[in-house]
Amino acid sequence: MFHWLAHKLGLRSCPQCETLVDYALDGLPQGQQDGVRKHLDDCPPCREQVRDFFQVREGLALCSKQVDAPQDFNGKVLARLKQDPPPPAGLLLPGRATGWPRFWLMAGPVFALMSVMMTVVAAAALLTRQPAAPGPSNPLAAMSAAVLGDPKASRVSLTSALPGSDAGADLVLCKGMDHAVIQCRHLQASAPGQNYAVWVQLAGQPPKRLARFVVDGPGSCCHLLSLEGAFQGQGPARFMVKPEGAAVTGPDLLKGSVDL
Amino acid sequence: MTRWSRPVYSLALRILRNPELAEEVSQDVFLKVWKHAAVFQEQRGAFSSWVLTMTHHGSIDALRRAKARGSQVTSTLDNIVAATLPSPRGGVTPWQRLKLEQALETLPEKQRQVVELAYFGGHTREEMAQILAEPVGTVKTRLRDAIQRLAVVFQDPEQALDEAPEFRP
Repeated sequence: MFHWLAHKLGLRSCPQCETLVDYALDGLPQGQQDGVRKHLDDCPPCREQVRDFFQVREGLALCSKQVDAPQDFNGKVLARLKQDPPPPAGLLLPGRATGWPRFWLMAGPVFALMSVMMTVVAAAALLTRQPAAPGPSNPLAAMSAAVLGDPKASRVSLTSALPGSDAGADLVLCKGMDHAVIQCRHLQASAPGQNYAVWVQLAGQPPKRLARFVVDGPGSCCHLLSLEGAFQGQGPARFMVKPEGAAVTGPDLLKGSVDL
Repeated sequence: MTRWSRPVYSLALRILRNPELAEEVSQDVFLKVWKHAAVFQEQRGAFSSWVLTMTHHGSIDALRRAKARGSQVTSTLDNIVAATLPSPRGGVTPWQRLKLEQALETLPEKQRQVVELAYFGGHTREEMAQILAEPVGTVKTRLRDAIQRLAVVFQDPEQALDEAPEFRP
């Protein structure tokens, strides 16, 4: 930058100016030649001058009295070429390449080595990976398993209150839990917008609705019931299944008792 | 090769003044061109410049070997490649060559002498000072002035073309 400004201002204080002619004519020691070459990369005015000097050099070469080469000159060159074949085409050595090709020739093997190492590490991690602990991934299934697996759970067998019907259900619930599980058999499928409700009546207390559920088909079905509060109860209890919306005193579809 | 054998051989002969040696150096130049064509970068300079630089370096090397001076010019292939610079002007045109010949003729005798010793003789500045019995500084200054005067030929190619309508494309 300084050299460039000096040239622009006409100061010509660039210290390398004095050596440019010698550089162009290879008249400097090797170290100085290299120094000037580096300087030329940063100093456009000097570079421009050296271009002129190089052209003078080339012009001087052409100014020599032109003499024809010996008659069999081409033949001799071709004969030497045949004796000494050229290197394989496309062989690019790092020392010869410049710019990006040189960078990739130098850095390419490093990148390749790194990718191989990363592949090995990933493969080793896959092979040594511990298998995940088994267990239900569905939270509803986990909750059902908790209810059914509780040793203090109460199981109520509900039978049809209607004559001639083989419908029935098994209800499992635990004290203190706000979930229960019911497995229905041959219960009529719910009409659209029509649910079933589970009721409980403890001794000396009015009936209380516990939960509601839907039956999709005439076969068996299992539901995790979300209770309207943590189940609490003691002593004899009566459980009923009624159509939702039916009066407390309405007819039962299923009924059963248990001593909690 | 047919196109360049004449200027290459002429330059080698001018420097070496020995037909056998000049032929050998010229053959070496074409072998190098063939082997190292991949190294040549067109954007760094004209092909003519590359070939003639190689010829010049090879000839000076051969001259110094012949004189058993034991020193070589910097003629490794990398240096030859580096000794060219990107130039939109390309090589020397016939008109520029003619003008350069005229400029050489108009140079003062002492300046022409140092150009001859430096370029065609391959002498170091110290050797030139000894031959001319002049201080090294004087020789350097004289050579610099001479080359700068010759470089004027290449500094305004448009003007050169205007002066030479027969070379207009």
